[in-house]
Amino acid sequence: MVRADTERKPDAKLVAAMANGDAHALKALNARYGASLSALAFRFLADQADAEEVVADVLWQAWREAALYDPARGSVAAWLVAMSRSRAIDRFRAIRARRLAPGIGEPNPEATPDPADELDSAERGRIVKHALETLDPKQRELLELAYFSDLSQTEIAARLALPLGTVKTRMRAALLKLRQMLSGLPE
Amino acid sequence: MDHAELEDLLALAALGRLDAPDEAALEAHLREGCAQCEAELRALREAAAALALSLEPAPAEQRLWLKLKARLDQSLPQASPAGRFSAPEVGERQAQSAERPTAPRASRPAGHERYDAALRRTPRVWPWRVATGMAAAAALVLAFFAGGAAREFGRIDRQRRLRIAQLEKQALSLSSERSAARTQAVRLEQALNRRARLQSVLMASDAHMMHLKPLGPAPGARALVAMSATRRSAVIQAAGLPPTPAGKAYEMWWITKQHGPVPAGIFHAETGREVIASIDPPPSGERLLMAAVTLEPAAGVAKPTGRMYLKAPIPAN
Repeated sequence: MVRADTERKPDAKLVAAMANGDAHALKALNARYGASLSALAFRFLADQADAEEVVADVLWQAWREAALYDPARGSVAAWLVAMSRSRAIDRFRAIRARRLAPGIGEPNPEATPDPADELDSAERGRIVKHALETLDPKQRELLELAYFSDLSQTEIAARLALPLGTVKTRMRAALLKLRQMLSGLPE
Repeated sequence: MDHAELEDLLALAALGRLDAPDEAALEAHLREGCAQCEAELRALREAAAALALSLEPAPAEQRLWLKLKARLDQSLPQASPAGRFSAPEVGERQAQSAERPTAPRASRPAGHERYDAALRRTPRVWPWRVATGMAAAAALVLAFFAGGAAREFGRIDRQRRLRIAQLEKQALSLSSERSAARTQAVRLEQALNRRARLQSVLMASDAHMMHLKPLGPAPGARALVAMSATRRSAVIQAAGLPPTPAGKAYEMWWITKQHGPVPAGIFHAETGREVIASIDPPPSGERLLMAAVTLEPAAGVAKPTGRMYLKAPIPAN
């Protein structure tokens, strides 16, 4: 059981408690982000077990390096997402190198929301989805391709048959717009 | 690259998609201290993270927790206050460790195969009559020695079993040494990271320091609190506090003119060890009168109830 007082703590406080060795805070952070991060890792790996291994590694790294987390450099969510994404890409490359690479970007047929997930994260997901839907489809395609694939900027430009300069400008405009739409979202 | 071109790299940087030369150019620009680009990159990273968290969550929480708990069990010593699991969870842990696979036991020692093969081997070049005679003789000899062979076989078998038991015991002790070493490594890494955190707060341009003085319950205790408003961080380094009793925690307080005692976080002390713990920085915009450390129930409390171990009056200025 995660205690009620731990559950209500903001993310940064959970990380501070983890830095001081509070295992309940790690459990609460997993309850808050484990499922979403697994879905993210799954987008790259197309394998639930691999995805969960990546997320377990990420949360374990967060536990060990909690004291190094610097709130001035970004939110806990952004920290965890960046670690998950980079570890998922590393693992995907390692799997591909072993010639066992599954396709990327396949939707997960079994991923259904867990009722145990916090309302907060469900609500946040809903808001972001809505914001994504209001983006120009071309901008959305670009963002999703850049974020959920292992392509470099040049490869993205080639894939979309766009000059690299256009990719850069469009990407910035899209992400800025998303940021603007999400500016009211609590961290 | 001019500023506009560098700005165009920010989104790709936030998404981790920059090619190496562009990445180097942007890093150099940020190192020069462009606050505008730094802030935009931070904002774009948050948007990118929101993008990631908009995916349908996978039902993975319970499985993830089991994985994490197994690692915690390996890295936290049983007596450590850090492993503050509730009783049922400790039970779960023991059940899990009981499930750990033991070394596979060979159903039959390998030597037996050779022994059997030797028995099966028959000469192929002798004429069959001679062979029959030889076989009859061999049968007699075998019958004669069968009892002795069985005894010898039993002795070898006992020796092998003994050796296997010894090796299993050795493997067990090596594996417990290995988990003790892992425990130590994770604890050292965490301690090192806490020290790095303290260091980074101390290095902040607006770093403030405050010494906390001991009170009655622990006359030998002392502590230093470092804080930085720009880093939104504070760290306490304490020594000489008695080890945290079971079910308790030390709690740090900021006492402000507006709100009285404001909780700033809990931490634990171990015998003979210095403590470094992250705490909440003082509430901004409030007048600080005092900082203090009390002993409270393990989960921490909203207002102090226990004895005060350390305090620092803050001079009005």
